[in-house]
This record gives sequence, C-alpha cells and structure tokens, in this order.
Amino acid sequence: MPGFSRLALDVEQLKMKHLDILAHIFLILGLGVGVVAVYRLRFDSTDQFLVILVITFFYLLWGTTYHHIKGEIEKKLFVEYLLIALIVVICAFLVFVI
Amino acid sequence: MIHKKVIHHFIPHQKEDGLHHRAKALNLSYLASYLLILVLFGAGLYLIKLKAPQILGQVMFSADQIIALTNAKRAQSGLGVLSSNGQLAQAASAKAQDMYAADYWAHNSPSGKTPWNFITTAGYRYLYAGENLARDFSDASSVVDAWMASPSHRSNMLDTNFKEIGVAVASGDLEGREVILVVQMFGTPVSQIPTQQPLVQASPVPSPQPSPAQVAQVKEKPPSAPSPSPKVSPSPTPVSVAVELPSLETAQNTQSTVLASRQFSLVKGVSFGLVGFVFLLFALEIIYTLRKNHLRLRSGVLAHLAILAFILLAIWYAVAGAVL
Repeated sequence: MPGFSRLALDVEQLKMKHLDILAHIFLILGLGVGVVAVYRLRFDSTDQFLVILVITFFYLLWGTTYHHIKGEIEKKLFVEYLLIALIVVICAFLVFVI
Repeated sequence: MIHKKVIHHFIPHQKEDGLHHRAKALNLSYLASYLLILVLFGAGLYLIKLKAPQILGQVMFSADQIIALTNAKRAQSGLGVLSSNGQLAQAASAKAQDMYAADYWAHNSPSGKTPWNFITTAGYRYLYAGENLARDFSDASSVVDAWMASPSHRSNMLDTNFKEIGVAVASGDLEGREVILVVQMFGTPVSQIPTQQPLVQASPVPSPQPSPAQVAQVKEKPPSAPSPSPKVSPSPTPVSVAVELPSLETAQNTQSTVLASRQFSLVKGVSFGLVGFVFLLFALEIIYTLRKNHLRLRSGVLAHLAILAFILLAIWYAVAGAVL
C-alpha cells in the first residue's frame, strides 16, 4: 500500500530529525560545560589542557556514535573527525602547555 | 576560469559530474597539512626557545611594580597601603630560590618548609602573615589582576590585618621550563601590637585574675583550613630575639626577563589564525548550503564548527600564567 509505506517513511524521517536535534543539543551542552570548565580553570593552564583533551575525546566519541546510529559511518568521515580533533589538541598543547 | 579555481578552494561547488563537492581547503589532505603546519610551528618555536631565545624578545617587570599595583588595588577598596619590608622581601626571594632549587610549585616545599619558615628565617616576627604565588605572567598588572580575580588571593591582597609586604620576582628553570615566579609575602610584625600595661593593686585584696585581653599579646586567629593562599596562625608568644636586619639590596628591586609573553602571543596568534581559517571555511559551507535550498548539509559539519568554536574561545581567553 503506497500510502502506508509513505507514512512509514515520514515517521522514519521524523525520528531521524528528532535524533539529529537531540544529538546536536547533547553535543552543544557538552561543549558548553567544557567552555565553563576552561574559563573556571583560566589560571591553571595544565588543567585547561586536560579539559580540552577530554572535550575533544567527547567530540570524537559523539561523532562516531552519531554517524553509526545514522548508518553513515565511513573511514573518510572518521579520518575527518580525527584530523580536526588533532588540530584542536595540538593548538591547545601549543597554547596551554608549551 | 582561474578565479573560479581559486574560489572553489573556499566554497562548496558543483563539478561536471553534477555532484556537489566541499571546499577544496576542507579536503582531508588540506586538513592534514594544517595539522603538519601546527606541528612544525610548535617544533620550530621549541628549537628557537632552546637555541636562540633572544629572538623571542624580552619583557621586564619588577617587584616594586607589583607592590605599587597591590597598593593601588587596596586604595581603590579604601584600605591603607602596605609598607615595603626588606625582611619579607628576603623571605619571598628565599622562597622563590627554594622553589627553583627543589623544583616545586606549591606553598609548602616537598621537605615540609612552609611560607612561615621563610618569613621567620628572614628574621620577621609576625602577628599575621600570608603568601600569594604567580608564574609565567608577562607583566605586573596581569599578575595583580589574576590575584584579584581569585577570591582567596584577593582576600590576601585586601586583608586589613596586613601592614607590610615583600615581593620577589625571579626567573629560572622550573619543572623543565623557563619560568618567572612571583612570590608575594604579607605580614604584620609583632611590634605593632600595643604593649601590656602593668597591673596596679590598691588594697590587700586577692590578686585579680588578669583578663584574657591583658594576658594575650598575640591575637589568636582560628586555624585556617588548607586553602590555595594560606594564611597562618600567629607565631608563638614573642620572645626577645636579636635579629640582624638583612641587606636591603635583595629582591626588592629585582627585574627579570620574561620570554613567555612574546612566545605566548605568537603561539596564540598562529593557533587562532589557523583554527579561525578552518572555522570560517566550515561556516561558509553552512551559509552556502542554506542559500542553495536544493543542497543538503554535509554530515558532521555542525559538529566540526562547534568544536572549532570551542577551541577558538579557549584560545581567546587563554591567559599566560598561573596563580597559587
């Protein structure tokens, strides 16, 4: 029945949209906590670097999980996340440690 | 044609295959090269720091500047100024040298020496004493601002019990890094308390018990819980001690060179520039996709933008230096 399958597709798309919104809210909340932590520790650069390290790991974990749930995880996408995470970590190391 | 090739580096575009492609500057190979640039920059800076540190430039600030700024903050709060004391300055200098010698960054040394040990060793008999520490700052006002921004350090700076101050600014190698340490000692000497008046008996009556106020020459302070900037309980009942005043040529006017400031600004600038560039590229991708309604936003772009915004904020608010 074309009408029923179309309804199922709409429901599926709605679920994915909700997942997108919830997942991104979760990511933003996590990064928000990171921003507050980095600000609170602004006079201890080593702790700031550790917070950034944890947040970057959270970002990697989030990306892997999110794209796996959506069924679009692939090597290229993971490498993209990894490269950006490494850029963030190296920057943080240069600014807060060295 | 050439300008299109250049533009395709920075904004998403459609190729002959009909598919939409990201900006070339966001390809994996480009991202890898940005990472390489950062690593090479960091390695280069480290080499310069080792072999030719004078390239990074010098900044100087003195203990007198710290004292002047501290008194300015006190004046702003309606408090009296602190007098500069040579013994406290010597204690601060001794503490700084001990931190370098024993390679530690703490109020108490690994061998158990407290700030009060340094103060008493310098011959200062205190009623109240306090200590603030700072490291890696590029100028005196940043040090004082950092202390004022921390409640416990601010409490020391604006304590009405303190009457005198001694500061040391010293450079050296700490925990494998070239750093600048600032040690700020506060004190109120015992000599500032009023002397006890003798009791006079007018008639043969049982000797009155001296009141607690007459017996106690040292005002007791409740023992303080461990805090980032510890204050001390008063020294024991004062005894007469012959103290040779130390030479006043010690740490009072110490000037120290700081390599950290120029290096920090350079690192901050390059990191901010590179990460900012990548952030802008992702932002452009989002804007371009939103304008072209038939396009769908690539997976993960929002997440990349969010983490880059996070690190940009962290770098922006990064402060060279730490207080204890």
